[in-house]
Amino acid sequence: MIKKITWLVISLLGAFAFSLIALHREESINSIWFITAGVCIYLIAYRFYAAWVAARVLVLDEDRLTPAVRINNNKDFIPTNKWVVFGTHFAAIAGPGPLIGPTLAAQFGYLPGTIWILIGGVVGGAVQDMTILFFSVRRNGKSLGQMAKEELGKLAGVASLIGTFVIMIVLIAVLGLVVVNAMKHSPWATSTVAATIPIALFIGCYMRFLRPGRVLEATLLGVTLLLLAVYFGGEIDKSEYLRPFFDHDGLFLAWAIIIYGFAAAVLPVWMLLAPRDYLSTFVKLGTVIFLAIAILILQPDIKMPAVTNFIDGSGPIFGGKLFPFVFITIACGAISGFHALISSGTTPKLIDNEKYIPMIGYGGMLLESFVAIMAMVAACVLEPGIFFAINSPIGVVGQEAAQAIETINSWGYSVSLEEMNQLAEDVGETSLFARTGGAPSLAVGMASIFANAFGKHLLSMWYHFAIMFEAVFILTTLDAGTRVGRFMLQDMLGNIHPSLGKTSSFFSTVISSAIVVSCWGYFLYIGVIDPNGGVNILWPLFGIANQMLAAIALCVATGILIKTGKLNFAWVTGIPLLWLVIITSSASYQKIFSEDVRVGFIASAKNMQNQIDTGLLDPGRVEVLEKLILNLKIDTGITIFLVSILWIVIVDILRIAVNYKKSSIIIEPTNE
Amino acid sequence: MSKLKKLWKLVQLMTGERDYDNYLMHFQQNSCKKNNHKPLSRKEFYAKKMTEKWSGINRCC
Repeated sequence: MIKKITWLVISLLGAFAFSLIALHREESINSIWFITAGVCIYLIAYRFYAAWVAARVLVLDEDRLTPAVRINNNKDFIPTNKWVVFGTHFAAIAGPGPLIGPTLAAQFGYLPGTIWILIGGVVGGAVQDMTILFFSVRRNGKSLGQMAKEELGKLAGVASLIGTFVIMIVLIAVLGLVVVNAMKHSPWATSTVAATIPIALFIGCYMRFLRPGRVLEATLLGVTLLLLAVYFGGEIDKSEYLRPFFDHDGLFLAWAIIIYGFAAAVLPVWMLLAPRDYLSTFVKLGTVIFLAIAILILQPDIKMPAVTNFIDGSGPIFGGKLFPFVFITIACGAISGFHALISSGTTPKLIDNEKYIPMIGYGGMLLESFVAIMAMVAACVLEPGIFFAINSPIGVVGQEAAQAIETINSWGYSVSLEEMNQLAEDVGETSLFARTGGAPSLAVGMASIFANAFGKHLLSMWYHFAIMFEAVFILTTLDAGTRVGRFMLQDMLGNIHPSLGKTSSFFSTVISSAIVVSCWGYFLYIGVIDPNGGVNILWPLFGIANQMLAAIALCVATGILIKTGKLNFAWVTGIPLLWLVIITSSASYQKIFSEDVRVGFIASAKNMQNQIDTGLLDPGRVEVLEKLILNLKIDTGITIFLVSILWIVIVDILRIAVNYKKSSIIIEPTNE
Repeated sequence: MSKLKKLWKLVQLMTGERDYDNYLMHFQQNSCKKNNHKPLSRKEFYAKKMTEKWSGINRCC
């Protein structure tokens, strides 16, 4: 009885908080309602929906031995404590995506993104993660690619492989761009981020030679060094002599990241990648908990309106209407296809009882969704004028600060030059204009929350701490992604000649790493020279690729449900699948064919060609435009390719459904 | 106190600090019959584990 009352109270509180967010207009709203709505909705969804899906749709069996218990080879199949599995699973799925996506989507106002994060997370993302995890556990930990191949056909298997590769390339490029934009002409940020490399190398040696396996003490040491790096970054910024060494433009930094990425992919993992990953996991965990506590203590007001005028497609951060672009922009945090790779990778080989699948699969995604809500709060506590001044590229608001202020004021958001200069000075930067990519504005938002909760005079420290925090795990994703891309490529090249496929061969490693790095390096380079900031093109492309992978994962899940005679329950994965097909298809269509030059690739290329044809531009500008036009053509090709793959898989799944209906014979997979 | 101890043990488990001890235990339980095999040293074990961990997709967006 008490339990029932508790759940009733949680439901009512959640409904109240949610309707408050949804219906609130005019005055500012307190951020505590976002946290309340999120926590209540997650609790209800976990307790009722996830439990129902687990019991009725998937039919978990706690007496059935999981592959970890059955195979238990002390190598990759190891029965593991559920909290440990939860920890490794969450550390694997939660990257920079749920922080950046919501920040960018805040241009539509706080409401659309928040609704999508909450609903999409509960009905879409968490269901995808849990069902794929379950199906992989029932199939001895098979990967998404293998399941797609066996359940839907060879084509779907290849599609998921290529989808993964494309996501990886575009994701790394856009993440590189985010770091570049945070570091350009900022000696403090640049020196701090640069210092993370020797720190990681030192920790790597420490864990390899001095104290193998002593993760906690190594991490403590590393985190202390990172904090010192943030502090001394400020000293470097003040030093007349040292400052110029770390004061660089975007192009220089882009090249530095490209070279770094190549080095990180070729070097042994223990030197750079593994220690950086330990540090980033701990810093990430600490910062997210810290942010949650700070929001609870401070309860800042949300300054962003619920919905802005930019839902009409004229947004400065990225072009495109509310539908479908809010759903493309926020992938991680609502639904992310990439998670399906983790859910069908290491995690299913560790679970020691099926009954923990909802907690790990569904619960892990809810926590990531909660991180996205906090990122949304951190973006929306900024004055909208300041938010847009930081995030709008020069291609939209102009090169000059005064011009940018005028443009932003003309949109109806008040911000003054003095305000921006004061803020830049407070956070220890020369300028905050046009720092696109979401990381700097998130850092300003987080810094203001931290500073108000724990000490106002330290704003510049908090800002650079936040930048360091974002950069550390963005670079981890960059390293890990390049490496995965390299393995995938070596796998493919192995078909051409066996020696190219050997991951232990130095020659093959160098060649394949160079190919992967030049792929993302190209997009990064274009992003840096693009006056529209690159994010406008790259982030939607990443979103489309990620959502396409999610659609394939949901196809696999739906296909298995149908084949095992659960057509009546196929809507559980079928509805999110349908929604993803609608949003990815319409977003792809608009990205290719839209007449709006800030949305459509073809229209944009035409527009640039017309500018060149006038003959009035100087040769340098023409050269840049020609590069951008080529890039737009490549982007068009990638988008067409992704959407065709998706539809081929959709036709496959429809074929399976029709066949099933016709024959009505239940096809049980042999090992289920 | 015992709760704190349990929590500490969990933290050690989650960070992988106890992996080597668990490996040794598993080794003694299962491979004592194969006489010629010696367990890996602490250093070898963590080196091997790290290579295995980073040979697949384990970090995401």
